[in-house]
Amino acid sequence: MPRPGFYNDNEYRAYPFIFKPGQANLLPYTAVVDCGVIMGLDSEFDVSQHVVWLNSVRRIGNSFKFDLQTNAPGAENLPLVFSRAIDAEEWQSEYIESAPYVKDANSCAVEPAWSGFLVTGPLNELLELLPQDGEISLEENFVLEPARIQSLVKSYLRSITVGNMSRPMARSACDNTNDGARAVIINARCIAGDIRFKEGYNAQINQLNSANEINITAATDAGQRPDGDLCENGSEIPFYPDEIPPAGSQFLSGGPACDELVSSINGVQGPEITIAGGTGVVVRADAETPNTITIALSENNISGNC
Amino acid sequence: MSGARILFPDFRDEQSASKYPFIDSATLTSEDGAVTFEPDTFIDASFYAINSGAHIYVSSVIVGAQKITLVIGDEDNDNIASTSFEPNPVRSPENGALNLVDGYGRPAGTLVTNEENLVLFAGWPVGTYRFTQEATEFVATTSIPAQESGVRGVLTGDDRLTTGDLWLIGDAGVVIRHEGEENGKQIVRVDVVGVPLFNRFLCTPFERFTPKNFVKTINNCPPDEYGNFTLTATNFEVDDTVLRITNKDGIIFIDAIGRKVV
Repeated sequence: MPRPGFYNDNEYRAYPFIFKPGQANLLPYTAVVDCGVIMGLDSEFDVSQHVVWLNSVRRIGNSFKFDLQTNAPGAENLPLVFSRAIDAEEWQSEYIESAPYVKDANSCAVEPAWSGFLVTGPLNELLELLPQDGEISLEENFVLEPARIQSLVKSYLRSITVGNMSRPMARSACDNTNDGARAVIINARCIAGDIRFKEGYNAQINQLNSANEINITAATDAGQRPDGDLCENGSEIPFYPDEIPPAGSQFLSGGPACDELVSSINGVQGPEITIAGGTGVVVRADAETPNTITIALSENNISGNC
Repeated sequence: MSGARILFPDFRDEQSASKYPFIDSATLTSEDGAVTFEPDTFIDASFYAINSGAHIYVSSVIVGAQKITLVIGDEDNDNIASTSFEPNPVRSPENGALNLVDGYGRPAGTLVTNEENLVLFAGWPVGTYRFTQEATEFVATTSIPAQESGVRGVLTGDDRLTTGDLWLIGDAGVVIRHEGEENGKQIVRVDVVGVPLFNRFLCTPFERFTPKNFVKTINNCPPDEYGNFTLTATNFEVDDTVLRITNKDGIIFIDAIGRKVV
């Protein structure tokens, strides 16, 4: 006597869903005989917290729609909808991918949040339940067996985004502008494919194949040798191609250049310069007018050399 | 009805009566013979540990007072993944799925069971029980190959794994930039140029940096290209002033000269 096959078995039991008393009254077991899903990198799926279930079966015209739903945060709003003609032969399978889960503007997702396949059996019993357009809401009565789910969460490195923390900016003592929290200035997002790390100024990159290790460190004059461009830019490198210095400065960090500061008066260099009053002239720096030097004719001026 | 046979038992009922997901020849007994799995301890399984090999099996069970840990191995490594649950009372997820993770916390598979079956472990004395591959090997269909091709993740020096979308951020004088594509390779350049305002960078977070005000102009006049500011008594073409500004021994003197008319 021939033994029934796997799909034949599943026509008469809840599998690939977990058995729940009374569920066969909602949907005939013959309708779905196999199903499996792959939860993607961004799905945030955790088998101890999240499940996948057949949420509903709808009839629209001459086709049935099987809606597979999950409560995994990254895929909960992206149901997998399988279509089957109402007169489809048994054991037809279909593979479906959801749209990517774009969590925020920084997301690099391009692959589906989740995907899966569904195999249907004889649909005549389902056709009796849905002789015309309508919907059977199953809620969470048809939960997929956990072992039918593969999770790709944390399973690979998808992309690299490079950027730099914002610069400390020069401000005067009178500038009350708050620097605030330092922000990340993104240089390039979602770099994928073959990536090559390149040594720039004073950077040394060592690749140790035996340990599968890349070591990036600083070493004077390693990598690209410092050149005139770096010197003229005050050892600053633009974080992005169009970065320009703030108004009034030639440096990306702001502030004056050395030749913009008063470093000597009449050839007398700092850091301490004395201005003295000679004949008939008084040079005063008193407490009443701080940060002020007063130069005036003396009270008995023009009295000398008579 | 004695001898009755259910023609199409439900999946979990059917597997409870067999050794599945273990292979038929599995003895299910530990190396020291102290403990033995029941045929229905597990109902189903799925393994997809990254870089796992063939012949996956339960390599050990660590029974503690507060936690029971199941360790999964393959032919090359006796610890490719593990899962834990509380023994008293037994707590497993509602759907009976024990979540397997590898050493980096990555999902590595699922063992399907139920609380009733897990009670078995509560009766095992505290200790570590090792199993041979022959004793607890799983059927091959439970294993989904997950080769370690490409870059699966990046580890930092302290062994922390980053997966998904990695951000490389330069700071403290390190600048990281994308230099475009060269021969099909994306170039990421790293420069180490220091922080020009290093004192501000170091001290500002601790509120110990006092901004400096430098003299750039006096009466709106800037210095010359060498940073020198020149004080003159008058226009250089006029010589009939009494003021004289001289530099003597590094001191700038301002004098008034001439004779008193009486």
